[in-house]
Amino acid sequence: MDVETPTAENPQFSSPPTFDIVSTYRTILASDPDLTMPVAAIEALVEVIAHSTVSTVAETLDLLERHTAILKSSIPNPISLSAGTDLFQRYLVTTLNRPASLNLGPDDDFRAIRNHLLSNGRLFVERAKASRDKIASFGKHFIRDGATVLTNGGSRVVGALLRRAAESTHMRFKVIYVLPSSTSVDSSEGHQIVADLRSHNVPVATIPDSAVAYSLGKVDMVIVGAEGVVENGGIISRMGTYQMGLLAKSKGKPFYVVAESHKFVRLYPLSQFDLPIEQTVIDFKVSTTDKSVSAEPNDEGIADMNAEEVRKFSGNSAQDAVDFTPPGLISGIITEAGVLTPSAVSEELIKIWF
Amino acid sequence: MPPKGKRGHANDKPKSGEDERDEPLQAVILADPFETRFSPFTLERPRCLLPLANTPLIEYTFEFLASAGVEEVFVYCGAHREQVEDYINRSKWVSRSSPFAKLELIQSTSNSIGDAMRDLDSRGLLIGDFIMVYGDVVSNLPLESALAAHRARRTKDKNAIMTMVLRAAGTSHRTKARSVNPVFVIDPSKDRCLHFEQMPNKDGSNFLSIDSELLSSNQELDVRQDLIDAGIDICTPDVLALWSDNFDFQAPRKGFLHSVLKDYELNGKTIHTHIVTDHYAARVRNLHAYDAVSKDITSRWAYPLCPDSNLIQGQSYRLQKGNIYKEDGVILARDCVINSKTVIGRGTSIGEKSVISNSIIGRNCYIGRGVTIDGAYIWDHASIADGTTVKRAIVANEASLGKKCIVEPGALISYGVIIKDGVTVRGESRITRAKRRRENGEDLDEGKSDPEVVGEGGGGFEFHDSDEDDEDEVVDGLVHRQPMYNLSHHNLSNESISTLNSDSEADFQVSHHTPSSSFLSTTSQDSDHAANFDHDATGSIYDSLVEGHETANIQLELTALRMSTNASDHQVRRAIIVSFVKRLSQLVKSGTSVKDAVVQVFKQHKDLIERSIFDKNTSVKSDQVDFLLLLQTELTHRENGNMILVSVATKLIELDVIGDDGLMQWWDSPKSSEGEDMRKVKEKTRQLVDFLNQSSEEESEDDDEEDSD
Amino acid sequence: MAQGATIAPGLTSFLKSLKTTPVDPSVEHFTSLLKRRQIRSSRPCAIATVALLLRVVIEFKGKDAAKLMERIRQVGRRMISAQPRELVVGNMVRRVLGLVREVVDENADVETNAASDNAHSHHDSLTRPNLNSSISNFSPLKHVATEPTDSNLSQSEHMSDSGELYRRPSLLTSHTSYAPTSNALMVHSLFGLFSQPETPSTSSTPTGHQSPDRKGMLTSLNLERLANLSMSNTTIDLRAEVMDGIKELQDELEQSDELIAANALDHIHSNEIILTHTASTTVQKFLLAAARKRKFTVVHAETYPHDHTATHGILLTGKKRESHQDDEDDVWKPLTAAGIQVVVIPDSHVFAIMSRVSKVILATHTVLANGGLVAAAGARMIAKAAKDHQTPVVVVSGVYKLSPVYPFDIEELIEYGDAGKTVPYEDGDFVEKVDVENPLYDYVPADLVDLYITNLGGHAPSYLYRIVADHYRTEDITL
Repeated sequence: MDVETPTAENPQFSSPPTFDIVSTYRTILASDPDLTMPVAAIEALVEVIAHSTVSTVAETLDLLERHTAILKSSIPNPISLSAGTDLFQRYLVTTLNRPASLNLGPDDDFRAIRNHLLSNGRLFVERAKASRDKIASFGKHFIRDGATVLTNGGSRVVGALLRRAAESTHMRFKVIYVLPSSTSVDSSEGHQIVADLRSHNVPVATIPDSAVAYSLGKVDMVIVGAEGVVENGGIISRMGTYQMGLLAKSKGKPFYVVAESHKFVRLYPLSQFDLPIEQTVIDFKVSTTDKSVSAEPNDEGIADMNAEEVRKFSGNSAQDAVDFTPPGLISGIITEAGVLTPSAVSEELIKIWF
Repeated sequence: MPPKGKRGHANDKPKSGEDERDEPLQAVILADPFETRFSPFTLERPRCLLPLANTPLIEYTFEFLASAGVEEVFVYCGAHREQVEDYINRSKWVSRSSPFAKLELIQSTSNSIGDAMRDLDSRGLLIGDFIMVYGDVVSNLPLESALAAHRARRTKDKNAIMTMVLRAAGTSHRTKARSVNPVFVIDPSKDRCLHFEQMPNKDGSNFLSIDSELLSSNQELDVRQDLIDAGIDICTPDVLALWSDNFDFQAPRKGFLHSVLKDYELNGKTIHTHIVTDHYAARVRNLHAYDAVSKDITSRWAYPLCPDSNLIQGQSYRLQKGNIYKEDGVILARDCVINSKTVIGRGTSIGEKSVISNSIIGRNCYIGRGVTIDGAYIWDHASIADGTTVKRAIVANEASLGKKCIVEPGALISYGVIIKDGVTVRGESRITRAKRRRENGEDLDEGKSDPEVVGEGGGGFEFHDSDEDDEDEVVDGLVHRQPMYNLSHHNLSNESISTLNSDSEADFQVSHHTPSSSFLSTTSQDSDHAANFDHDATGSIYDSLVEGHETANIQLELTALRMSTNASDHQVRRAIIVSFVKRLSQLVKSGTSVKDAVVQVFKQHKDLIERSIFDKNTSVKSDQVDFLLLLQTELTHRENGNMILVSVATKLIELDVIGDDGLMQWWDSPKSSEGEDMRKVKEKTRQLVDFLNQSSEEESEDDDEEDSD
Repeated sequence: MAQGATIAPGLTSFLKSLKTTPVDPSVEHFTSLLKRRQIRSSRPCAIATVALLLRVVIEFKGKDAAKLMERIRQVGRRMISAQPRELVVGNMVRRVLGLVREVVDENADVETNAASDNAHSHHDSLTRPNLNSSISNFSPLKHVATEPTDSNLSQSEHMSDSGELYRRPSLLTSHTSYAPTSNALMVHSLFGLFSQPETPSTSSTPTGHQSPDRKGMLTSLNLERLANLSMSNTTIDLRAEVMDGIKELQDELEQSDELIAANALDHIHSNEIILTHTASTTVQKFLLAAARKRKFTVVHAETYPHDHTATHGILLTGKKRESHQDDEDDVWKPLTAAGIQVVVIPDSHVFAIMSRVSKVILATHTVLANGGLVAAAGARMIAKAAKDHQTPVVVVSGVYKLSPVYPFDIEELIEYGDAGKTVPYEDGDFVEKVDVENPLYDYVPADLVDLYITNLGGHAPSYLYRIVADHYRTEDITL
């Protein structure tokens, strides 16, 4: 049965179903710079429920199902986003089946749960940020006095972690920051972080992707962020992470991944090319064809570039694409729940899915 | 008044129950070895509380005893008792958990180790075998085997009264006593020490005279000078008895050990050695040793006695590569350099571009920018301003150095001294604010600052012991300077005669209490000859005495020697005295009564003496006085020296070598009555003096009778 | 002989004194022994710690679990700070804390109990060993655990087939993921996002009690509940139960070697050449167990300088020649007596001989959560050489050596010993001019190890975190 929610009706969007999840998602994401896609997605879904008048478990799930589908389809790189949506779904399933566990007092019924969700909409975000802090405060122990850290990308968590380490007074460490020469969003975020660290008077050197192998000799550890952590413990992260992993491995440097656990996503990629997204990094062509690149500046990072931007890759930059780093290269995944070996990830996912 | 570690909860003692002995293992710590080796620091703090690698010395001693399974400890302390006392009271050693069932602090009025031992004997605290150590021992030796060996010997032979635990070390070793060179003559078959001598570590003066019968009686002899003597002795109560019997013993080694061994025929006591070739054992004897042991500790030779085992509650040292030890909460500027073998205490901050190496820095110190610290020891709460350089020096608590100062190697900067900007502290200088040793209760009286040394508005002044030659000793202490060695023990300040006996004084050095004519106070190069003269002369005279040569021949030899080394009359006199007395006491031992001996020696060779005294007809009998003084000092070390003194004096008067007025002048001369045992020796002679005053012949004769038997 | 009279303080003397001394002095005593290194190496430390904690519990007055845990924690911190490099101490403290929490949970909510029960029964078929472990570690009330003999029987027999499983330990261990604690913890870490705002614990401890499955959760909330429920003196005897648990733990310490040895036959085959090093009772017993049925050759690296005497001793007499090892009262037959050919080689020879070695068996000082281990110096070189020759490296270690603490800084874990053992201190010039280092331990990274054999069976390094999750509560990891 379909759900009519006139309240959510929004004039300038007229996309079915009645409530435009995509725009909501984007506005949410835009509203808060340091909001991760999974959380934004969850937010959006909460919104959906808010605007709906579903009264039964089945309905809700079905509703979410559909909106999730739309959301995913409308976004070129839904990987990390899907982590959020899936998580949310699972959560509902488990809670709805065992409402008692929420112990919201005697009147455990669907409404109670719904209210819980709605009332705590913002809370999720808070907690997401909190978990980032937790990671930062926990992960900073990795950085020892006198260490040199190699990192890349515009990962907020990594940034937070380094900043936290910098704040602790008697910690002396240097950072080598891999910055793409392009002007892509996350490189600009990268620039922010670099500036930020320098202001905390942490010596920071910025190098291009091509200089990673060269500088690795001076590095004690590699710390990278991730967009999604997949089932086998590998990570999906911005283009170039994979090669950093390989190089680190070959140089025997520890390679740590920092990711909140809500970025765990149910995927099992075996190679670079079976990621469920379409990115034309490798694009063979002959001289004749030359397409004019029309890119409106995108503001939500990798995942949110739309079709024509995907095409843009083939032209100049591959920076905004992602690659897959297999678990074998990863020495540890730092989550707010502690440091996990890659093989632990699958278990965590198993926990909630089976 | 002594802090009682709570007694007898017998179970807390770290001891394996099986074959429990009825008497617990006891130990005596001599917290104050009655020296001034660490002045000026010891003016304000007791030596045993000086920080070694940021941990008070005595902690190491306690650790050592605890790990050896000692249960009852008696701490002897002299100066600064109250400080020691309340330190111990606050320490974990008196707490319920302390491994010591009993920990007593004994305040002794004694000003020498000898007196301390005698006092200890009188108290009769020690039931069974006990371990005797100084308050500055650093060691991780397990004593089981030594104790076992000792007890085994004991059960076999009651006369095996003492076992010295010695650590074998190479011929040259930083941790060995530099200034003096203890030589042990050992019978390896029985581990028995046959002869001991302490000789100044100076080329040309390394003579060792061993009784011929030692050589004949033992088919095997080790003569070892490669041993680190950490002053760890396992003693039986008889040892104390022996101390009491010979009230003139002062130093455990040079005094006690030396003579007990020499008098083996008399008392039949044997002393044994237990030489270990692994583990660590050393004494922080003087500043030089302080430096060496600190190094050993930071480079983990004394493991587990390292900074990072955090001996005291609340320490939190962590080891980092290259033996760098940092406590939590050390604040390092981003680009300061910490080189290897460095210890840094909590709350210390080090500014940009500062370079620290091979140094030990206490807690809450402030080190400014661009400071260079190398091989230095900075104690708690010291502050060093920007651009200052400190090398191989000690900066004590609360001292502060201004900007761009230079502290040269060997300098000592005592508590609370303030050095102003740009001052250069000379290597041998020792700067302090305290005038003299702080006595119980009384608070430290400050001397007024000397801008020469500390700069305008600074605080502190150059420290001088009553003995003028002191710097040298200290310089030798921290920084290794070759030619100084023979001088290294000039810290025999007059007020503490004990120092001189406390260790490492070769016999002939004693004499330099007398004015500058002492060859030792003269500069080093010709003191070489002097020393040679002294030795040769003494030696030759003695020999000829033994062989009963003609006085004339001896005189001849003596003059020749004297010419060759242009030695002073004083030295000649001393040579004579030394040899005579030596001969004398030998005779006495061999049974001849004092009187006869005196006659035999002095009467025969009175010419010798007369020719060394040139003031027969001057009114001021300086030479005679000097002569008697020498005699007196010499006799302080012989047993019943006082007897001998009397009879010799009498004889000399009799022979009219010494005039009555000469004797009187000597008697009245201040030098003759400074220091415990000088007085002791002198006492008996009073009778003679009195008698001379109302000169009556017979009594003196009687005196002699009495004395001689 | 009078020697006994002044035997150096050590484990035995400590245990003796412990009987009659109140806790706090004993703790002091213990810490000083640790600092003086008079109690050292994992097993003695573990034994001493547990004994001490037992005392703590015995002396503890009152029923308030929270207070008890606080007490244990505070004692634990003191012991750990004394010798941070003996991680075992920390492990034991955490284990005991876990016990307390377990007891609390048992009594806190009964329906949970039921749940965990059928959880157990459900997995009985799959993994008996783990069931066993989880019982003996978490629910001292279970009758299975009360007669350890039988449980050990079943355990050991399962050891043997878990042996076959060791090629795919993932399978074996992943089942254990249903073990109560871990389940709770994991569930949280993903759903934590949604837990309720008013939960005080979410920020502090990683485990929010609001997550759907509250099994094995201990939070301030139901702690309080327990507190006042014990005030209203219901029939729960906290102390007795915890003490039982600790007894279990002590049994585990005793038996771990035997349990490990039970695997021997699955890993050591006839005519193999086994390379091992240092003096480890665990390894020796392991080899001996195999030696009963099989003939093989043991190549023993002597780990000069800090352990070689002990090594020689253990090979010759089956007893370490070390004063501080006075606890090793049980002497067993040395390998040679069992007809095994033993070859001692200097450490420097390891690489050369590795090509002929068919398996490397390492003893360990501590096993770390990330699958790495800290073992006697030389271990890393051996492991590396083995890797280079594709020789399998097996590490035998009791679970009690497994530390939940993530090794942020490896350097911190390496103890540097007496330099005098490397170069004689007599050599004055050397001491003066050269810096001598004598590290006692090596850190061996996880990827150099192929298999861990604990008293629970075989595990791949990457799955050790699972064992950690089974034995320690996340709340306790930071003491």
